[in-house]
Amino acid sequence: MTRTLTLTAAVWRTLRDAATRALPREIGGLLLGYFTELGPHVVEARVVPDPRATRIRYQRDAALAERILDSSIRADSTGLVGYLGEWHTHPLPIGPSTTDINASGRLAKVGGHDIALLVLATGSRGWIGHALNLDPAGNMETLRVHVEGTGNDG
Amino acid sequence: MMESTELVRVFTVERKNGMSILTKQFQDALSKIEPEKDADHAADAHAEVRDVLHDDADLMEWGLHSVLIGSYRREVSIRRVKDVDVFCELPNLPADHDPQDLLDKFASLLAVEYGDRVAKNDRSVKVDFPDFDMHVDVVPARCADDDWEIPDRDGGWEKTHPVRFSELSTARNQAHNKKYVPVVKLLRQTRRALRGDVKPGGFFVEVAAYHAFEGIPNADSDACPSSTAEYYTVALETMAPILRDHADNFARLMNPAIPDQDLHVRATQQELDAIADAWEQAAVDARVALKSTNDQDAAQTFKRLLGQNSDGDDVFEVPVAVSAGHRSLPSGESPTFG
Repeated sequence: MTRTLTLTAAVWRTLRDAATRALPREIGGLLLGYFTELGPHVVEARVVPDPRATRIRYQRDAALAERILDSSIRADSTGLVGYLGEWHTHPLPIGPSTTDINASGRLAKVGGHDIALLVLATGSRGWIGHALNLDPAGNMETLRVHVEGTGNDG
Repeated sequence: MMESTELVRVFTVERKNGMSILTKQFQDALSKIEPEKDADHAADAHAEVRDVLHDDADLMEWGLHSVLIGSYRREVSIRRVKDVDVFCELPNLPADHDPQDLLDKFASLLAVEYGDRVAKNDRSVKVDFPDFDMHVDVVPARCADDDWEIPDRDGGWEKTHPVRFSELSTARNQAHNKKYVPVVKLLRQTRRALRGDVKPGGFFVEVAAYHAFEGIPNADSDACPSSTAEYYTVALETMAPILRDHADNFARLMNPAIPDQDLHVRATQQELDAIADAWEQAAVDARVALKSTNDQDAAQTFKRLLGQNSDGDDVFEVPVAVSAGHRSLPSGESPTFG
């Protein structure tokens, strides 16, 4: 069974709005939440700004991202919210690139755990989500993107 | 795949005093057995029948006052409500009026409006409401001191007081901090899950629950069950010997509304034995689940005991196991995407 990257409706709106505001440049950040039997469940998507982002490049700053993750964990009362993976945008109708896969695969290997990668790409009907899971052994798996409460996939 | 061994295993359920109380799952279970639109249909059907009956001069002279009774009135009905009882009080009915003639009169009056949707039974007149997939049992009643009497199966009259049982149920619910009504719904659903359409029905279970709640510490006591899960379990346990005693003819279930009147139960000895067996096992299973340190196992038991609703959905949902996201970034590097 294909596993799913689930986003709350609020998270999907946050991502979509941030992606639109950043046009024509890329933007990205952290996927935060918890894991279920179905796959990663994103309850918070944080933007990690990159002032040097272009239409084809985005770098997620480690120091800033660490501070953002710490603040989200401190603000969470459930004890469940933590780092799940990375997201960024493609202002073109193109899913995850080789660069994206290599970067995420490296994170998985160094971190010793799975990394969820979500790419929001423009399409004829607005932003479309493409998701992958990369594990420390170098395996890659496509995840279905599901936006909670809408009955629609992202 | 996910490296779950590094993660703290957390379940989105609550524990209280070491018990698996699964609060949200019980709340959701109650929502899934709510009658919902059936309640509106019952009110509409009652209003229609009442309008027809109130057009008759004789009935008005006899002081007709119709009220909804049954599980719907006591707010313990569960989806789906297939029948609704309308109790027609006739305080001025002449004492010598024959009960079967009275039923014939009701059947004739209703047939004018509803035609072949009307059927006369031994003790009531049934009117089908196919649009609602429901029928209404119209029960005429005459005054008998502090009680009412309705036609019996032998051509005579039989004491009853359905409104009093409603009042008693309301009082029981108040005494138990409004836990009685929801727990009775869960118990009726359990009967449906374990015994299906086999008799005895939901009213039998409700009456047994009413008597059982007499022995359950109420809201004034420190020993009062502290959650729906515990109330449900304690109710199953307290009811089990009551059902066994009834099956063994050791102590028959009594009608709560009429002192010293046995409850009329349409079930064979085999059926009474079977529900007593099922209830004893359910009580044991629920206690094991309540004491379990594994909420998934506990939820699986409650799921089985509550079965499915009329839409075919599981009434009790097993919570999804979740594990926390990572507490730090995977590396100190700043990855580049393109």
